Amino acid sequence: MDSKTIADIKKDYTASAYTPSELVRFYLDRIQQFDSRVHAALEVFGDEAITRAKESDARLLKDDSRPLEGIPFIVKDNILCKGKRTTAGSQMLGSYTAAYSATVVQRLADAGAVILGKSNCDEFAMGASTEFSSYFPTHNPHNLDKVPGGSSGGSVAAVAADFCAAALGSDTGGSVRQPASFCGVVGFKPTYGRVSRFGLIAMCSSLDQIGPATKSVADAATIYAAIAGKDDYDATTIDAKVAAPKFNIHGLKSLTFGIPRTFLEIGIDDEVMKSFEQTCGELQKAGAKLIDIDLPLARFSLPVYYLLVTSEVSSNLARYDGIRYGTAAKDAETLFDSYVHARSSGFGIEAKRRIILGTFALSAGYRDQYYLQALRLKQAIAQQYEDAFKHIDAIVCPTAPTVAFKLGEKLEDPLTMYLSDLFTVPANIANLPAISVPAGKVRGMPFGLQLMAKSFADERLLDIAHTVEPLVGAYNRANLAA
Amino acid sequence: MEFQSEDIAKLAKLARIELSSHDAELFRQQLTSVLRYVEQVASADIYRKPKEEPERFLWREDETGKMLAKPKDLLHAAPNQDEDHVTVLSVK
Repeated sequence: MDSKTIADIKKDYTASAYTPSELVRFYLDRIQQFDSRVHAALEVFGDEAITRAKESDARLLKDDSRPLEGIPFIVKDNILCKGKRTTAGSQMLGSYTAAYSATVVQRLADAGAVILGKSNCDEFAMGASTEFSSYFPTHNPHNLDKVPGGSSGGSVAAVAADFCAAALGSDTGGSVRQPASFCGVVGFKPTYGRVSRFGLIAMCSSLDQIGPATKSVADAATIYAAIAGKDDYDATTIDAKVAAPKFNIHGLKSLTFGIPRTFLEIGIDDEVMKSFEQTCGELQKAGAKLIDIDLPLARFSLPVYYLLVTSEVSSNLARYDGIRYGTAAKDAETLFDSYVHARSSGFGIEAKRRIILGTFALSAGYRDQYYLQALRLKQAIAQQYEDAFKHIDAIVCPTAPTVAFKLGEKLEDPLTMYLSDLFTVPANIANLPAISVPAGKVRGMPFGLQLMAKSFADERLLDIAHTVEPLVGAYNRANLAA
Repeated sequence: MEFQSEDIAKLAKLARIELSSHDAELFRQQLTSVLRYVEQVASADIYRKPKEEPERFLWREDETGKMLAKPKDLLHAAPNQDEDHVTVLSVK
């Protein structure tokens, strides 16, 4: 049952090689054996997962299976599962129990999936290393001294450690793709508007998007087909048919890839760049046409991102006032004091940092200079990407400028930490679907190749990534037994 | 622009957050460095006017839908409750 993709598991179920309850027990055993070192999970639903898996056992016996029947998942802890504690990695929600399930969780359940537990993340999904979880940091399963990336570090580490078949994360600026690159798994961010955010604890509402972390591109496509599509509870979802990719691209001869070379050169590790060039060579050998593209505004994506994110964070996190959620102040005499007590004790350092910067960016006298200029620039960046896609099928670049760094290395320097998202953020700003696929190792650590396609070309992107995947690398389970 | 101590104090108060003097000074330095980085948005040469998108409004019928959460469960998220309501301190 080692290292099984969803596609493998489905075949094995059909061949009665093992049952869903046996597979769930296998993953629960691995979690018990190894998660004391990885710290990927915040909560594990042992007995309940086995009960659910037994229902799948019965359905498979009756030949009554659904698309994800008996497939074990782990879900990031900022996504609501009814009746379960949902903390978003924050003490502020330490005792919060979800009153309903997120649409994506409901869709997974309706498709027959089994939820094994909730995964660790940076507080309110704000971070690039999962060190800003207020519970504990998650470690990279490929090297426990290194970070797994973030903010969906728990979900991605769980897939890398083979604690589940696949996981859900959320990606606002790279929070699925960057850890996928650091941990050697596939991470997919669909186009904003494709997957419902209903039941996702809001961080930056205009950019947040839920996406899968998987062991193969085909699995990402399977999950995408199950969770994407119009949702009446999220008005930003579009009413367009979701089609499963056909995987009918044979060879790369018909494809043109764009490389934003001048953008990449502004802050990339030399060895990552060298490995990326080698990967490009492989694509060329396979017949792909590679051209350099110029995206002069791409370098503004990260500053735009941090202005929009902090502004929206200061607004979205205003609801945590100790009255509807959080810890009430026992000794407070005034409402003002009770707000201050709840927020000062409930939020961690990164949340406070972003709230304060966002409060500044939205304040009178500065709003036009920062927030509104960022919005104007966001539109211009999106236009520049749209123009580029007139001549190419996809953009290829490294997912992150470096491989996984050491725990604690960037904790004291927020700007350096933010730069970790340099190459992933543009897809969120320009609203493009983007995917990271494993592309080998640099200094012993995995790194990912990122592919981006034009807005709402999610199925096409998955199709292209599926063709590229076997040429550049593959999922390899982290060796935790050593 | 460089944040001054009083700027951080004012912003923290607006955000209803109390900072220790250590954190206030740390934030002053860190946020100054982040602000200097994001300030480059002012220098961006937006090479052409972004296309004007017509404003779109999505209307829906004002109908009662299926309730996904029970009021009791929503109420339980609040730290202080009394029977069927959330309790708060009085405004002074």
